[in-house]
Amino acid sequence: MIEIRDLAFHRGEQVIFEGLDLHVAEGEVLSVIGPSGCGKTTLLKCLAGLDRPSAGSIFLNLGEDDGRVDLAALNEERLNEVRREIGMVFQYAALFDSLSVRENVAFPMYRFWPDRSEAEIDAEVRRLLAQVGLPVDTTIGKMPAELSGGMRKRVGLARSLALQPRVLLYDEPSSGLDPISAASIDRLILSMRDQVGVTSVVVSHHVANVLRTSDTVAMLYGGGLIAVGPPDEIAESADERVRQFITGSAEGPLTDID
Amino acid sequence: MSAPARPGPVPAWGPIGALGAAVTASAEVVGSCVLLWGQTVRLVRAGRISLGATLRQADAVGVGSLPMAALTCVFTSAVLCLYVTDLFSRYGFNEFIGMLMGQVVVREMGPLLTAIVVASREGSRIAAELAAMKVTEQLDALRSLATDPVEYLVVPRYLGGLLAMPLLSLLSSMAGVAGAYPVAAARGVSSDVYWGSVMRGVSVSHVGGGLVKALLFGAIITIVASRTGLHTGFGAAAVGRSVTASVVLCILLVHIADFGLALVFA
Ligand SMILES: Nc1ncnc2c1ncn2[C@@H]1O[C@H](COP(=O)(O)OP(=O)(O)OP(=O)(O)O)[C@@H](O)[C@H]1O
Ligand SMILES: [Mg+2]
Repeated sequence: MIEIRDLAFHRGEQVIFEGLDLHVAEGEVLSVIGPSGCGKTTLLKCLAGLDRPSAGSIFLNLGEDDGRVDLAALNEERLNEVRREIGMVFQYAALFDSLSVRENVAFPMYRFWPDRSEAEIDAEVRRLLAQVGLPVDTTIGKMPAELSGGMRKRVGLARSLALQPRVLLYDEPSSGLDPISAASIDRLILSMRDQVGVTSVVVSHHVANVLRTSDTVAMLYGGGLIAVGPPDEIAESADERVRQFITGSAEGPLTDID
Repeated sequence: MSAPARPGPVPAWGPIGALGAAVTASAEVVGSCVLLWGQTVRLVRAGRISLGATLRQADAVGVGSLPMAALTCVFTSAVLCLYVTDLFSRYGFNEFIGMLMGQVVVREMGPLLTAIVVASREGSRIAAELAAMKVTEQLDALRSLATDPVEYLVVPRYLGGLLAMPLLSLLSSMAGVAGAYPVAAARGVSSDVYWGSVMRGVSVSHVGGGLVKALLFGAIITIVASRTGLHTGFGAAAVGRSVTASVVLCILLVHIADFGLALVFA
């Protein structure tokens, strides 16, 4: 479904990552872990077609009509068509703050389903808000500024689910949520996979949840992938850096300054 | 013996280099404004227009700025009229006062002062809005929902500016010419003399020239403010920098365009 080949991203002189190779099968959940600032958000933005990588390819398999496309090589116009198939949940929700919760979630529907009636859109918005675990009647009319961080995040998730994308990119979907809401987001990610067959890439700091919910885990560190594999393999990794990250210890190779 | 000089950054060209760098940077910014303008015009031509959003923007620019623009025009015209009346009445040129006020305000002061007010009020608003959307990833969110930020955000602001500016400038100019009258009247210029002189002095082409200027200023302000907003860096401080840069650049370019048009129309 997603195939990353020799991907590199440079920000001016700074190398964010280089030589990434990664494969995500259709309907799989890939989790990317790694310390702050290692480039996880940047990687997701490349996958969403928002940032253009400096080198390499991102192949996306979109079925018969669109075929296999390389996100890194598309022009802005073609990218716009492909982006409908990709949903992104932003780290800080990125809700449109001049629009209400309802208008935020309905935004992509108005743009792409011009023939739907107001009532159909309203029903769909309510369904999505309920799906992400929000109390529909009390939140639907609010403005983003009136919501807590965790609620905004869930509205952002509802918005990115609106067009029923085939690929979902989650940037720390459960950070800032209480443990129960975080678990319900995990369940949502899995149900998207199991019921709709969505392919997901999840960036997360919740190592325990990651190990529980992903099909593959990749650790990004120092500009490259230092480990890629199924969760149980990653959990048993012999690599000291992976071990330190998983156990969350303050002492180890990740924190040693040379 | 003195210690060896520390190898600091090489001051390549001093002030000349700094000036060169500033010129290159400005040329780059103006160039990207021109690109954004072209992109906006192409979308407008293709009919990618939201009428509701355009009217909301026209309302913000036009109705929102009218009090401030009219006030600025009235006071500036009144002060100018004070000096003109003093001078002209001394030599018995009373019948030229309205003519001069009318021409200066309708052709030059009205559009220019309106543009400066709109650049400060609405240019800063547009830059701040888009900059805030940039730093909170709302522009990325728009793009990820397959929506072109230029189409969704810049086109309505641009068209709203084009729609509102000529009308706003015309009303402010009229307010300016009218606001100057009491000053002349207080110095003994009769209503007939003042308004007769205005009517004789101001032609349709003067009004048209003023409208063309206002239209151009509207385009400059909305495009420059949008481009500065869209190209904001990172963090809250960058929003502030964008707003400042937008107002400075808008006013500067408005003056340059004004001078250019004055040469053309003269
Ligand atoms: N807007 C920016 N301007 C300049 N540099 C940036 C910007 N955003 C990120 N960076 C740099 O790019 C690198 C990768 O950033 P990125 O946001 O992808 O990290 P991350 O892994 O998502 O971190 P976190 O876990 O804190 O969200 C960082 O080291 C940072 O220095
Ligand atoms: Mg991040």
